[in-house]
Amino acid sequence: MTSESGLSVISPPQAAAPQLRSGAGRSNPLLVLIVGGIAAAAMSLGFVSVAPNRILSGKPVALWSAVDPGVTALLVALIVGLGVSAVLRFGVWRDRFTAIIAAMTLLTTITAAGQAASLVAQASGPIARTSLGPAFWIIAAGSGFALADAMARLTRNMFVQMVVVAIVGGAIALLAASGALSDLSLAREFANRREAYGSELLRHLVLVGGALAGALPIGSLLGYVAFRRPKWRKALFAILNLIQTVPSIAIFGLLIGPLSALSAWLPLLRTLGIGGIGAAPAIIALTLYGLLPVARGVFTGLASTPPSVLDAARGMGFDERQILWRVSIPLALPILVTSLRLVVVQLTGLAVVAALIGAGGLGAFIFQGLGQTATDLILLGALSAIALALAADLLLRSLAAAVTTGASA
Amino acid sequence: MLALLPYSAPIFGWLFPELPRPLYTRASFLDLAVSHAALVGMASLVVITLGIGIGIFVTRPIGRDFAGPVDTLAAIGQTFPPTAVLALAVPAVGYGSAPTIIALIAYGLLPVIGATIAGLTAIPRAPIEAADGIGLSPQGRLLKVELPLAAPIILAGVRTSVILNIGTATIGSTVGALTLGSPIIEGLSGSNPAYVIQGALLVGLFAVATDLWFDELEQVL
Amino acid sequence: MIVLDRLTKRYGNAVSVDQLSLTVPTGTICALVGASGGGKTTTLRLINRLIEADEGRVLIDGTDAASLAPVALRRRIGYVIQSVGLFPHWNVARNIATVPDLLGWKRDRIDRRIDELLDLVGLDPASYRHRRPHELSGGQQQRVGVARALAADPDLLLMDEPFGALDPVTRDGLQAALLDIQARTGKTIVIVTHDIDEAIRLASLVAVLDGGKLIQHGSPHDLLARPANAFVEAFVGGPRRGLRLLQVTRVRERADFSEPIGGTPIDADVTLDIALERMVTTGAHRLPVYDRAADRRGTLVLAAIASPDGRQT
Repeated sequence: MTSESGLSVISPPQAAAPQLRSGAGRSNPLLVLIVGGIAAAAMSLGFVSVAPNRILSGKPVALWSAVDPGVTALLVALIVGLGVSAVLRFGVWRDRFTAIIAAMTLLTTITAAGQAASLVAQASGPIARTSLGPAFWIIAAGSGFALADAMARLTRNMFVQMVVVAIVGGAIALLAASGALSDLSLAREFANRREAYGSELLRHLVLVGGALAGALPIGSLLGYVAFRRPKWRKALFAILNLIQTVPSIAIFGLLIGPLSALSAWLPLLRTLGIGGIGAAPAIIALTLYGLLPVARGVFTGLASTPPSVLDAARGMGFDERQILWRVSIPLALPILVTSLRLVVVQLTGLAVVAALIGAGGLGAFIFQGLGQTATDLILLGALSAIALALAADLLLRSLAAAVTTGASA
Repeated sequence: MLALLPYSAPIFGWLFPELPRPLYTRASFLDLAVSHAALVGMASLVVITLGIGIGIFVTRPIGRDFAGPVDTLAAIGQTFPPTAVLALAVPAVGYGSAPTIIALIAYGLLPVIGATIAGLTAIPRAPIEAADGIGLSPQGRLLKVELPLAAPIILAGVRTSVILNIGTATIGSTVGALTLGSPIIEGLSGSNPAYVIQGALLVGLFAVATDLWFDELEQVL
Repeated sequence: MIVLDRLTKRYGNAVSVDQLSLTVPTGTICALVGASGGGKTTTLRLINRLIEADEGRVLIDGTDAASLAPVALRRRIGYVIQSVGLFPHWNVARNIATVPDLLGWKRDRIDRRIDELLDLVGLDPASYRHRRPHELSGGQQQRVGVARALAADPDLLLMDEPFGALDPVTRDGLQAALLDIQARTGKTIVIVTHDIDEAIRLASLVAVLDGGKLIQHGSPHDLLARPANAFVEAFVGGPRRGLRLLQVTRVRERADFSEPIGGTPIDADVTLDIALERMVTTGAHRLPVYDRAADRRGTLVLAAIASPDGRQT
């Protein structure tokens, strides 16, 4: 995890993405591939997998045997529509059409899976489990990606993209709330653990929030020191880079010894809940991880003030503090927000591992599921962690876009 | 370290007197290290060939239509937590080394593709026009001008990918792969801090040593 | 009046500015010229203490600059640089308002000042006030840079190769604008340039620096007519020195007002290069001259352009 974050911080957010979009008036070979893959998967792989109970493994059931013929026909029609839009040669209208059809395909697939589960529950009773099959995942991922790609062609405006994500996400949430999906084993797994889910999600956010509360001020300070003291810069970044190089689980592990020794010495720490395992070492380790991207972002941001602007500011009688707050920081804002995004996304992902040292969080479901061979539990944890990371990414991208337009419009 | 650790039982016995077995013995540390390195090595080989290949493809005229989507995919994919990717591979292929390798490849590809595209598109116009001007073929231009100029950025992407994968492979122990993470996971579940420290030290050293090796490789380039 | 008194700046063993003494009278434009590395920019930055002198003093209207806080000193001195350095996150109005803001002026006073200055530098306030720096051409940016430097009405303006990055046509327009601004405001201006033509056009006092030392200073005419050494001679033009001398000599100085001739007269205030150009394009050996100030007529002959002794016809 050396420099993924660092690398991207160095280039400003907007300039980083090269203009690679294909122009209007061309067909869309990628979409042809996606539709081909979707069609092949729907025909040859199981759409859902049905098992008599939670322990036994399921048998694949094809799309047309799992749901109503009407739903099958609708889904087939949508996939054909997606295929048609792939070979159209129009520009904007083609992409809008693709986006709408892809969104409908995604929602219909999810509805169909819910219906399949309800049909199984009616036929074989509530103990039978209906989990999602490979065909479902391929259709869902393919249409989701077709939607993302069409949106990327249509607009670079983050707010529009946010609205579309909110609409599609809201529709899925509405589906779930209506009970249409509640017979799926994933939903049942969730229902069984509704309370635990809430507290682990909260715990995950606390881990990330706690680490940010440490990493943002300390990392900013280190970045500022690196900026003001060129002599310390190399050693400072070498140390921070070293921390990022060591795998997260090893840092967690290495903190156990010193922290448990410390809490054995100081009973006060123990009463505060700080010991070798649990949330405290996780937050400390995550804080250490967050230092490099924060420090590098602050340093890169401050160092990016053009020399001519600094010269003019000094020559006009700004003191150093005024230069920092009125000139350097406002100019660095896009870079600062971008590094904030990278830190939040990275820590959200790393916090998953924290469950291994008893810190809880969404990782708890993943590792419990792995231990019990409970696929749906694994899915619940992994999909939630991915959704959380994506949501944080999207939110902070919008913030970065707002800051960038604010700075240049 | 690898050679000395098997003889360190007295030290860990002294550090953790309450533990009946202070040294991890289920597999030799050498076996763990070799298995860990093999997983990362195999995955990295695939990642480098495939990642650079895809990066080159989408920056050629023929692959231009795929450049945008690949860019979008890499941006979305990099936000996925590596552990979640690893966990998702289990329902698909079961436990063992297979899900670990798949996760390592899937996750490791993104930085390499991203860096290859970034490196190839960041080349200034002048050398490319000069290459065309002296009559290099597109292949010649790619091999003699573009790839050498993009090499430092591509290498940085490979480095990120490999270091990332050393960490992800450690977590691979939770899905049944034999890696240096095995003592850590076993120590955590069996409340044996000695195992945890032994594994953490080795894997930390492994990652840092690899990182330093990349440092030297960058110097050579 | 600006007095530089034995200013010295060293970097390690290298002397960047060496015992430099120079007096710039109030209301004049003084050009510091010389080759790169000659110490021009360092001298300029010693005046507003962006660089601190090792020895010597800078007196501004009798006050030792070292006795003021550097920040306060700089707010009293306008500063213009080649790369302009407008704040990219602020619009034109806010850029111009920088120093008045720092000085705590009232809002409506600042607003009036911004419009005044945009007018002065030749930009329409209504259409330029709210633009961002990146929406302006290089020349427009530097006009805003000059307006920003003049915002708090400083008595002294320091300019470091202000027009060096502009194309010749834009540069010519800005030089004319600067002369006009100086004539209307009477500011004292110290300008660093490596372009001798710019120095000749703008400055009434030219100081030639080499190796951190002041080699010669005087009016452009003095330098062109009597270069102190080979360096100054080479710098002020070598073989083109005679042609440049024409640019700093007025028709009045060479015309014979005892014998007027007929025809469309040339103004006695224009320089000899323009008169010569007229002779060459019309094929005339003599031109009628009209001296507006003294309301008299005279004649300029070709021989008089070459030397004052050739005046008799």
